[in-house]
Amino acid sequence: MSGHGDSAARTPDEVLADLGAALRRARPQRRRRLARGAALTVTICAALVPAALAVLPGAPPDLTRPTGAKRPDAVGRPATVVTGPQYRLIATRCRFGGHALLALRLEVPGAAAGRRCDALTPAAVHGPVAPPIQLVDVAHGRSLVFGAVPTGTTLVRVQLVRRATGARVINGVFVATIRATDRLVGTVGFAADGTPTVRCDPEECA
Amino acid sequence: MDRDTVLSLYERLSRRLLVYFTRRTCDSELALDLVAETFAQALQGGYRGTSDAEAVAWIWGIARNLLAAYFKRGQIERRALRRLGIERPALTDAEAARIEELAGLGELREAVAEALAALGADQREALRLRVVEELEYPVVASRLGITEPTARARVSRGLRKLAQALEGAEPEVA
Repeated sequence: MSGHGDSAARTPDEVLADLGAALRRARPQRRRRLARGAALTVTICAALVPAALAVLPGAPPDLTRPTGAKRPDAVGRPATVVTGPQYRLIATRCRFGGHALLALRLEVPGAAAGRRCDALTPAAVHGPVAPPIQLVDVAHGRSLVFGAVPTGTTLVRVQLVRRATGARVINGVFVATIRATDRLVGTVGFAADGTPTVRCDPEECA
Repeated sequence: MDRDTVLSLYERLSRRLLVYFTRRTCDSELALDLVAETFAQALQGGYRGTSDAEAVAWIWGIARNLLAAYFKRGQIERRALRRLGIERPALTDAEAARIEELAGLGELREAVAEALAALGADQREALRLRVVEELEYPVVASRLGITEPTARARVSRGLRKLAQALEGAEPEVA
């Protein structure tokens, strides 16, 4: 094991011992749980944000935005880009300096999910597109996975736990209908020649 | 699972995991990252079993999931390491070489090269398109001028033969 001409080099066991020491020093931080009152406040604020935006100009409360979320330099007008059975996908263009991406919102009867330009995580802003979202549509016993893709993408493979499905790209976005019990693992976009254009997990795309 | 149990499992399993990851990524730095993330995730909790065998299986489950995610995305997940602020030890070239030697990477490369050479040209090309170029099966089939089920069969049989070669070259690790 010492035939590499470097007597100061550690053996694999010594390297692992160093890693073990680093693991021992680490202290797991408990996830902060909001007190019931605070959680109620967050829920009420979240519910009031659209109404507040409609009435008051300016940004929503920071309480509803992820840590480190940047405010966009410009926000376009929301536009419906895809409609399907009992759903509607609305896109808003967000510009951050020279980089632009779409914030998508999917609406189904009685529920909605999506992203706001001013509430994107830093990882989402720096990626080529915002990560995909899964909306569990309880009323119709289905889930909908949706997201934006880079230019040139024609097909998206939606990777779920233990299976995958495909989705066509329309107007730079995709919507895949899956079972309510399926869970999204990630998506991969492909150009017409089969070249991957983007890989996403639910938190970031690259 | 409490913290002491995870650290005790680290003492027992880290060497085998390091070899496991090194043989599958052919990169000792990546392998050490994967070992570190495996146990960082274990330290974060989530284990619900009670027996020792279940705990070991749980750790291996994390390891396999991380490896699968690496193969899928081409990059290693380091969320738990970041969250816990763990810096894995940097490796010198000599240390990386020692890990590769422990994992028997030289013999493994020879075994894979031999197994690849033993494959038919059709199977080898199908494997190259699917595994190296990461093309979807319809594209592989189109490039080779065959049907999609045939493309899948060629890749599957090729992978099986390679897997048999790798199993034959798996070293014993204490």
